[in-house]
Amino acid sequence: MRKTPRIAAALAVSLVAALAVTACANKRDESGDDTKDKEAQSKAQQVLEDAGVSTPVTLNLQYNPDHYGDISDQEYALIKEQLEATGLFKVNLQSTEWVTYNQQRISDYPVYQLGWYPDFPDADNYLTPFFDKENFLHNGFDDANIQGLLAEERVELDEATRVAQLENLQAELAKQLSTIPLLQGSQVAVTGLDMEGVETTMDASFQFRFATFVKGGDPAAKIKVGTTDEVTGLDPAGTYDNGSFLVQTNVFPMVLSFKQGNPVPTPDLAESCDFSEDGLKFICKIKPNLKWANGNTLDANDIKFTYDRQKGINDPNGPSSLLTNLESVTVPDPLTVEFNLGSPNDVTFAQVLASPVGPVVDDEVFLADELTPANVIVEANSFAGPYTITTFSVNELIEYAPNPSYDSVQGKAANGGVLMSYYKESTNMRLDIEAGEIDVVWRTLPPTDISQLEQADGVKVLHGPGGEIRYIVWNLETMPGDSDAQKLAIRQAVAYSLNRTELADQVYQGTYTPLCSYVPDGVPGATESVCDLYGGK
Amino acid sequence: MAKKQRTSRVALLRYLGLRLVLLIPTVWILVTVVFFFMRVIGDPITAAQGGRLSPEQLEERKEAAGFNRPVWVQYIEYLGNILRGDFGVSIKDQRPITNVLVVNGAATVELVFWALLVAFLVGIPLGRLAARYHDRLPDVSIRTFAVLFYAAPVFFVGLLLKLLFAAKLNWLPSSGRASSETEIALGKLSHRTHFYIVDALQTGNSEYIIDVLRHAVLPAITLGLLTAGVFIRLIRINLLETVRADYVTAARARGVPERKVVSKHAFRNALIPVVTVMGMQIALMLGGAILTETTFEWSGIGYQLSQYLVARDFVAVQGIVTAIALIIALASFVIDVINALVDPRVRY
Repeated sequence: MRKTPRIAAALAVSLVAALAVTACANKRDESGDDTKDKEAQSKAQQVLEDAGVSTPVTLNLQYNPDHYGDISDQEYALIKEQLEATGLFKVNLQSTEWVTYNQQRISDYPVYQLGWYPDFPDADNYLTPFFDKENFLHNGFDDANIQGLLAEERVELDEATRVAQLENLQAELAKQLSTIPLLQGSQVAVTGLDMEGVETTMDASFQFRFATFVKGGDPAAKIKVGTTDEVTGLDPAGTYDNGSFLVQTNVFPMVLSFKQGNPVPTPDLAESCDFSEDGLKFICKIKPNLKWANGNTLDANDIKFTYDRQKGINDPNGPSSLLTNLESVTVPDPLTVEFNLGSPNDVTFAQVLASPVGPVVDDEVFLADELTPANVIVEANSFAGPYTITTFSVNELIEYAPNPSYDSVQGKAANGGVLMSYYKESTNMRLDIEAGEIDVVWRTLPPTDISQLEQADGVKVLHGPGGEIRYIVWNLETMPGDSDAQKLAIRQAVAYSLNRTELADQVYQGTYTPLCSYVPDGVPGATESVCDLYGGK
Repeated sequence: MAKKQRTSRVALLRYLGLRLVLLIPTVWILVTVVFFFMRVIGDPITAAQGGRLSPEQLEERKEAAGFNRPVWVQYIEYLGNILRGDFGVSIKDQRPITNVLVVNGAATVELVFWALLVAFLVGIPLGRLAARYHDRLPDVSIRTFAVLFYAAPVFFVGLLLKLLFAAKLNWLPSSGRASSETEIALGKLSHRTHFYIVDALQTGNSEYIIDVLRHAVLPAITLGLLTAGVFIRLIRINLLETVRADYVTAARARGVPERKVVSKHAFRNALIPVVTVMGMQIALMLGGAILTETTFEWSGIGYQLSQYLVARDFVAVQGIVTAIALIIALASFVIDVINALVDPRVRY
C-alpha cells in the first residue's frame, strides 16, 4: 500500500513527539527532586485535599491536531506528562477531527484545547468573547462581577484607567480559571538576506502589509512571497480568515487602519474620527478627492454601502458579528460618515473599523445584497489600497501591482509589486526560500523548520509579537468534581501543575512563549495574573 | 475473400458493440457506489460546514442545496445531471466540477503524458536489453531495478528526487507546474488550453518553454519510473517468448540478420501486450498521479481531489471520483478497441 506524504509526515511527527516526550520524561526522572516542581505539587495536593477531592482525578482531555496542527500531539502528550507527574491526575487524551470536535466541545467535552486569533489587537478581544454572559465557549461561566468589570473597561476612554481595570479584571479571572492560558504564538517570517522592510510590518496589529518591502535596495524589484494560508474570497463580507484578510489589507482602504510599527488605529480614508458628546455616534471626516483605482469616486457613500452590506448580507463565513454594536450608518455629506452605536463610548469600535470587517468596498462594483465573486472585483480593478491585483488565481498565485494613486497610512509601495504563491506543503515552501525561488515566507513553517532555518546560511528568520493564544477550556458543568468548590480546586491544581516554559521550549522550540494571563504580551493591559497565583511560567 | 472480410468486420463491430453495451452497467454501478458511499458519511453541507454554521443555518443551506430531500430523489437527480454532463459545484470554492475537470484535468493529462514518455524511454530499451542479455548480469540488474521502480512508493521516490535535485543540487524546481512569471504570462493567453507546454509554445518564448519543462522533469520521472518498471518486465518476457516463436525461427532460417529478427519480427509483436496493459496502467497512473501531484504541488485533478477531501467537500469529491471512474471505463473501452484491431489473438 502506498501512503500519502501527509501520512508520512504524520508518522514522522508522531515519532518526534514520542522522542520529545521520552526526552522530557527522562529529564523529569533526572530532576525528580526539583524544588520548584515539588513546591507546585504540594500546593496542588493541598488545594485538592482542602476541597476533599479524591486523587488521582481522571481528566478526559480533548485536543485537536486536525485544526491546531500536528504539533498539538506533542503539546498534549507533554501536558499529560506534566499532570501525571504530580501523581494527582490520570489523564486520558482524546482527539477527533475538527468539524465533530467543534460541534461536540460545547456539550460533550469536560476539558479541551482551544486557540484564538484576535479579530483586532485590543485586550477586550481576549476577554469579552470568553467571559461575558453570552460567551462563545458556552462553558457555564456566568459571573456578574466579571460582567460588570467588562462593561466598565469597554467604555473607559482614559487609557491608564482602562489598563488598571484590565489588570484587576484578569486578577479576578485568574481566581476562577474557567479557562487556563497556556501559550502565545509569535509572528515568524523568513526572508532572503537581501530583503529589507519586512520586520516593520510584524507589529502587534498582526497584519502583514507589503508596502515597506524592498529587495536588494531596488525599488522596482518585484517581491516573491510564499504562504500556506488559503484565500477563501476577496469580498470582505464573506471572508473571516487570515489568508483572505492579508489580501484585503493590501488592496482595500479602511476608515482607520494601522501604520506599520504602530498598532494603534490611525486615520486612513478618514482625516479624523471622534465620538459625539453623548458617545452614541462615532463621527469620521473623510479625505476629499479620493478615487478607486478604476477612477470611481471614493467617499462616505462607499463607507455606508460597505457597512450596510456587511450587516445585510450577514454571511455565516463573514465578519459581520463584529458589528454587534453598530446600529446604522448615516452620511450627512459625502465627506462625513456617522456610525450610530448601540452602547456609547465603545472604545473597541476604532479597532473594529481596522479589523476584518473594516475593508471598504466600491459601491459601483460590489453587489449590495450578495457576495461579489473575486473575478468581478479583479476585472473591475476595484481597489484603493497600496496595491491593485493584476492576476488572481485562487490559492495558486496573486500578482499585486503598486497603486500609484495610493498615499495613506501604509505609505506608497517601496517595491515594484508582489507575487504571492500559495503552497499546500510547507516543505516545498521551505525548499523554495532556501533555493532563493521566493524572497519571503509568511505563515506557516513548523517549529523544527524554523529552528533549522535560524542556523541556515542565506536566509534570516524574523520574529514579531504574536496575537495567537492557546488555552484549555473547562466546561464548568460537566468537568470532574462534586461541587463548585471541588471543581475550582481541580482547576487550580491543574494550573499549579503546568510548566509553560517546558511546553514552549521543548514542543514549540521558542516559536511560542508562555502565556501567563488572558491578554497576551504586546497588547496594552497584559499581565501575568495566572502565573502570579499558580506559578507554572 | 471479400465475403470473409465482411464477416470479420461484422464480428468486430458486434464485439465492440457488446463492449460498449457492457460499459453502461459498469459505469452505472460505479456511479451508484460513489453516490451511496458519499451519503453514508452524511450530507455534504454538514460535512463541509458543520463546525462553522449554526443548526438553523445548516438547515437553510441543506434545504437550498436539496440535501434534505429523500436520498432516492437526490440519486435520480444526480444520475440525470451526470447524463447532462453536470457533476455539480464544489462547496469549498464554488467551482463547477466540469471546470475542475477541464483546468486541473489538463494538468493531470499533461503529467501522465510526460510520465508515459519517461516510461517508454526507460522501459522499452531496458526491457530489450534485459531480454538480450537473458539471465546474465545486465538482465539481473535491470530486473532488480524494475522491481524497485515498481515497488517503491511514488511519494517516497518523489521526496528523494526532490531532496537530491531540488534541495541538494538546486538544479530543478521542487514544486509547481511553472514559476510565477510563467504562470502570469500563460494566464494572459486568449486561447489557453491549460496544457502548460502547449500554452508555453503558444507564447513562443523559450524561457517559458524551458521553465515548464524544468518543472515537469521530477514529477514525470517519479510517476514514469513506476510504469517503466511494468514495461521493462513486460517487454522482457514477451520478447523472450516471441524470439522462440516459429515465425521468428523461420526468419532466422531464411538468413535474416539477428538484429533485424529481433527489431522487425519479435519486438513488434512483443509490444502488443504493452498496449493491453496500458489500459490498466492509465488507472494506475491516475492513482499514482494523485500522490505525485500532492508531492510536487502539481495542480492536477488528483491534487485538487486531495484538497477537497481535506476540506470535506464531498460534492466535489463525488463529482471528481465519478468523472475519473468514467474516464477509466472509457479508456478501457478504447484499449479493447485497439486490442481487437491489432492483436490477432483476440477472438470476437
